[in-house]
Amino acid sequence: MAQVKSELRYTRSHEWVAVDGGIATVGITDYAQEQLLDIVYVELPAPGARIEQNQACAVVESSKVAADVMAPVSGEIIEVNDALNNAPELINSAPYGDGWIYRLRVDDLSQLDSLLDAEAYQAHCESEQR
Amino acid sequence: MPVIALRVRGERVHPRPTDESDVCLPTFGNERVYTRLARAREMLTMAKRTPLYKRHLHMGARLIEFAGWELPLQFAGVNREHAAVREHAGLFDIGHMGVVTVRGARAEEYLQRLLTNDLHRLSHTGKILYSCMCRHDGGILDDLLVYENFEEGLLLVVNAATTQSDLDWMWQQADEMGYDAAEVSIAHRADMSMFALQGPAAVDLLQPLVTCPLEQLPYYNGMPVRMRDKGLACGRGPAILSRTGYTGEDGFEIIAPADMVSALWDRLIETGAVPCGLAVRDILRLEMGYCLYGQDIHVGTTPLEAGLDWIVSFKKQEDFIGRAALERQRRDGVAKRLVGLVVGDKGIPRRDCPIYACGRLVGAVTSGTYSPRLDHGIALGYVETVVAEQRPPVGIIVRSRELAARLVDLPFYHPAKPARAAAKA
Repeated sequence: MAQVKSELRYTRSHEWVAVDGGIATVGITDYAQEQLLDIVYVELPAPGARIEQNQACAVVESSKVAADVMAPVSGEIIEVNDALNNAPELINSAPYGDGWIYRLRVDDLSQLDSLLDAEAYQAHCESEQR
Repeated sequence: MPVIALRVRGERVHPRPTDESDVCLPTFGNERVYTRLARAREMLTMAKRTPLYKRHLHMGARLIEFAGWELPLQFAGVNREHAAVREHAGLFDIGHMGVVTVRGARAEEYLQRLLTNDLHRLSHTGKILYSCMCRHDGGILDDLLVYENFEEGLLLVVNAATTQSDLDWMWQQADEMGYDAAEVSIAHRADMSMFALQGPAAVDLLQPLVTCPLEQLPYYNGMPVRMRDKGLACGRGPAILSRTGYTGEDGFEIIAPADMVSALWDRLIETGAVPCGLAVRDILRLEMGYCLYGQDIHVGTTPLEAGLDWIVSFKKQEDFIGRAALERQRRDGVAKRLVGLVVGDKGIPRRDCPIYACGRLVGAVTSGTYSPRLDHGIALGYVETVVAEQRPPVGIIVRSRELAARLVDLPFYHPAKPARAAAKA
């Protein structure tokens, strides 16, 4: 059973978000990395770039498939996880920890209300399985 | 995967939408994938299972639907499985492959007329032949292996996705050629299953379990096989072991009844063979430049275009189906050729990605993946013959970006202890 962390928020497109002050850290969930198989390339967004909610801003790629990573909220990219350039497998081994993908400064914190909590995300994954 | 319409240099290029039978891995932000997943789940409940299915579940394999079968996609992970096959030994459940026997007084003559290769190349008992089966226009219906001297007949191993269409075609052709049941009888041996052990340690792992001497078995040869341990309740029914495979490594494939396949599988796992799934199987075969039917070869491609001229015999006496079309093509030249491509930039070429050279669209990718051995994306694809011959630098369009690539000789990877190095016949 893929791990879901109760303190995080989630999107229907399988990203997780951790918010601290006005900064959101984003990655993809355990469920997502399981589906992708071993990740071999990550295309990180550019620091300083502005992104809108639900816009694709990064790509994770395995031998099987390439998938877009969406922005859960609008904001400005302030940091990206450069370690993923040499160790993309961190997303598989630590999707909620060292496998974080980017950080952004959130424009409008109320956008976070539109995200799923852990329980709702779990239910969403289960409905996909059915 | 989302079906992306690309606009490249003013031309609109549509990648072909993936087959409904593919199980799509979820992408993010694409609603269409949910419908396909639902459809795939339906198919999964009707999918066939090999004798090893429960073992895969027990080992926690991720399963997918492939050609109507529920099979492992991966066990410990693609990277680990890949290393296991290239450095030690990997186990593959290939019970989905179609096993077909052809018997009767005129079985060999019939197959000579049906297949492109020459069965007389089976010059001695035990040799195995790789061949295409073509339509009258030369398009490939399937690629397959022919084993001879099996239950007084010949045995064919065909692809899973084409088993039924192959059987229908074979029955129809036998009929049209005027053979009766005593002369040619074709049977689908659904009672037989298959597995493969591939890797430099294959001989060491398998020899303690079987009576036949493996070291001396030449590449592309087969022989009857029996378990060494009579205590394992099997041995009913015929079983063949062959020094063949789809990975380029030394190794074996075994065709046997379910109980023998299961017993050998269990023993091999106990002694350290690593179970491997379809995901790594695709990477391994692509590193060797081996074709996958349905992607690199299909009814829209001929053996000459696919670089399989070496399994087309224009010398044999019999007129085989497709001969006239292929002779014409050999005389006039092929318009496109299957080539190997290595990507220079970061990125993975995928099926249907357009290939550009000298500013023109010159072809498309048929299979692509990331090769852990080369640490680059690799692909097979068809390009115009002039491009195949002159090998200019090319660009592969992947998700609206152009990746620099170059044409290379196949195979992409040369195993340290390759299958071909095994004792020659």
